[in-house]
Amino acid sequence: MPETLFPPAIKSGIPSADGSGKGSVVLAQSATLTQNSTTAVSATFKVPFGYPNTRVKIIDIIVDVEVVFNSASSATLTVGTAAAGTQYASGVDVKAAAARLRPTFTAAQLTAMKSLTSENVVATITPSGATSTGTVTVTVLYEVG
Amino acid sequence: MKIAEVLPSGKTVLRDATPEEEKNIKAVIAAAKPVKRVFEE
Repeated sequence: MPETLFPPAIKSGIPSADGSGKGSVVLAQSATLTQNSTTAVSATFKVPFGYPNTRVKIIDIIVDVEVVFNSASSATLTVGTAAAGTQYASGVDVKAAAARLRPTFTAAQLTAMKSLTSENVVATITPSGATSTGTVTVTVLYEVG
Repeated sequence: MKIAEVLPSGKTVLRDATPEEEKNIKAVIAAAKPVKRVFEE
């Protein structure tokens, strides 16, 4: 499918004299994580961190549990700067029920989400125990200002 | 320890976890363990 790529920072609106009146465009990246037995499953989203005069901010993380992970003990989704990292989200139970979930963000995670320090945003599901079913789609919403 | 990495194409590949990732995975599993309650008579 043809794609149109814009510069990392996209704003729209009618700027007033004091520079206000512009809003950032919200961008999204998503990936579907399917169980792989007892192995942790991860997906890496690359955001435009480090681009001159820009700042990347995660607005929200949406976790759609389409098929629950039937792991024997637990199945936990985390989002961080490396696989199973918890810098942005932690402790999301994807074993309990099929539903749309949002992480309960800690103060430290909210602060980290305001100003990223890495181009990698990695979502990981870590199972504990035998697992034979599980499909989860993770969507990261962010803005580049 | 291995990690199943989902690529942008949707394909999944197995790769070796880095030491940091191994540490993260162990911490996540430990945090998810149910709390053991000890009852005293």
